Amino acid sequence: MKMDSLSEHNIPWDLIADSLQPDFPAEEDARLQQWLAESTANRETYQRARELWAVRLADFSAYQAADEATAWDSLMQQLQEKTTAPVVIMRSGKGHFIRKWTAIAAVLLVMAAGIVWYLLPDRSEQVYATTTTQREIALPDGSSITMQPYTEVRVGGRYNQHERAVQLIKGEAFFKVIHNANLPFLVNMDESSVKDIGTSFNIRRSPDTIKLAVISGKVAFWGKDNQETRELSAGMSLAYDVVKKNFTEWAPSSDQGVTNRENLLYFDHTVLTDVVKQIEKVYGKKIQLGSTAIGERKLKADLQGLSFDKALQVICTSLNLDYTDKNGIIILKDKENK
Amino acid sequence: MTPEESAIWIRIQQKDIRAFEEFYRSAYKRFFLMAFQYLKDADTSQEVVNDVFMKLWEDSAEIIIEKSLVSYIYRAVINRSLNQLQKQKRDLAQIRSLQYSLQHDATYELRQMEENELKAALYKAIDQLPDQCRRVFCLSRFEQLKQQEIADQLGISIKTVKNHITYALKQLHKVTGELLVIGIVLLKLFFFRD
Repeated sequence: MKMDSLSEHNIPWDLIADSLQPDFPAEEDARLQQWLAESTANRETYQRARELWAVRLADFSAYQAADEATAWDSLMQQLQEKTTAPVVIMRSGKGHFIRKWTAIAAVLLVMAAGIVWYLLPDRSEQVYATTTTQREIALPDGSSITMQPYTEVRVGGRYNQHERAVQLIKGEAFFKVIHNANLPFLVNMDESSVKDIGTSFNIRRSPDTIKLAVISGKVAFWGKDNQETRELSAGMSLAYDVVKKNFTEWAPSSDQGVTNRENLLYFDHTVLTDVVKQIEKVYGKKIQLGSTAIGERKLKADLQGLSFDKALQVICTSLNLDYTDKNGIIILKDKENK
Repeated sequence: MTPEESAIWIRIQQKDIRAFEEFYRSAYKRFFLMAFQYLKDADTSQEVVNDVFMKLWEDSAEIIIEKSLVSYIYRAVINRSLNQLQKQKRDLAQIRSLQYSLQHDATYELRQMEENELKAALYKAIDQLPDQCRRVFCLSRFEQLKQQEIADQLGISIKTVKNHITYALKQLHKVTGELLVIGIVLLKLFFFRD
């Protein structure tokens, strides 16, 4: 190495460069031959330079012409052609399944056999996937998605700019949506979409059914195949049979295998402090306890499917409490000490 | 795998399309170059690379990568390129020879990868040459123009043309020198590890 670094300054690069090009003058060639004869190192250096010029640079033009952007588009096209489900497109100009609802949150759910579809054009989109654990995603507008295991969700790169669109590719997710009347929230699933203004709801998607349970607000459940729409308000639930292409009755309490959000509202001698934490999470409300003592009272109740108001009533009746609403914050107090 | 490769692979396995795209875009040209070395056709080379990446994406849950994500992909690109050549019934004797090398020469793949990395680094170095220097060098090497022709085209002196070509050659030679040293070290590491 040391020898190389010393001889670097003695290498006649101009002579070598000239020798690799056409019309190399004879007298210059003589000088080159003299230099080559001086040492093995010189001959090795020259050999490397020739190899570089003639062989190693041979594919440069093809390399330069290769465009990773074009190649990527082609790859995405290939992936698109491989999937069989219709594309759910949230981009403008595609004429979609969106309906306008004036005073309510609308949720359109579409079933398809669980096929993964990758949205292309928006290069900043994000796909989230869970394997064995639950995961919560916070969206830029303050909304959130709680993904159950083995669930995939795609969030568009332009989320909270021109639209608030997500796609439930497969699995189950709980959506807590922050109110924004100017920018409706949409959940897409192949053949339907859900438009929501401000609500919380749980969707469980499997190859043959989609199960929807609404915690708060109102939704519209729209099936593309049967062109039917059902309105669900807080505490209601419904399923869509993908195979039979019709709506079927479904209640979370009757479904033993369900891993949805509603199970979090079943309390078996749970201290009120913990009940309140759970209620706050599920319903997105703020609750305070009037005293620490009442926090120790235990609740045994199944609140799943109930609206917030009804759930509050159950809690107060069960634990002999009363409540007041102070600027949107619910304050629970002992009834006797009111 | 390096920690960086590991992080990328985990995200791909989690079907993070953005991570997949970032990795693809950053690495595409080097894999394209490898395929082109065998196929000498840009469209087919792109096809081969995309086939490999598509399989990587679709089967990420089943694929086990022990040493390196990059070398895994290189291997897949080499194999698919040879399969493509076989399909086209091109250079059957050469294909047989290459396949023999793949099976019996433990260092063949590694040397192919090193050579490819060297070429990719060289080509990147050309892109990084000063503008006029790069223009002159490319006109000489790839358009095969004589020095006087280049001088006339660019409105500069022959001396300037000579200086540019000399400078470019020197820079590229330096790149090969540095990478060949690193390559020998890596070759030994992998060879003795096996």
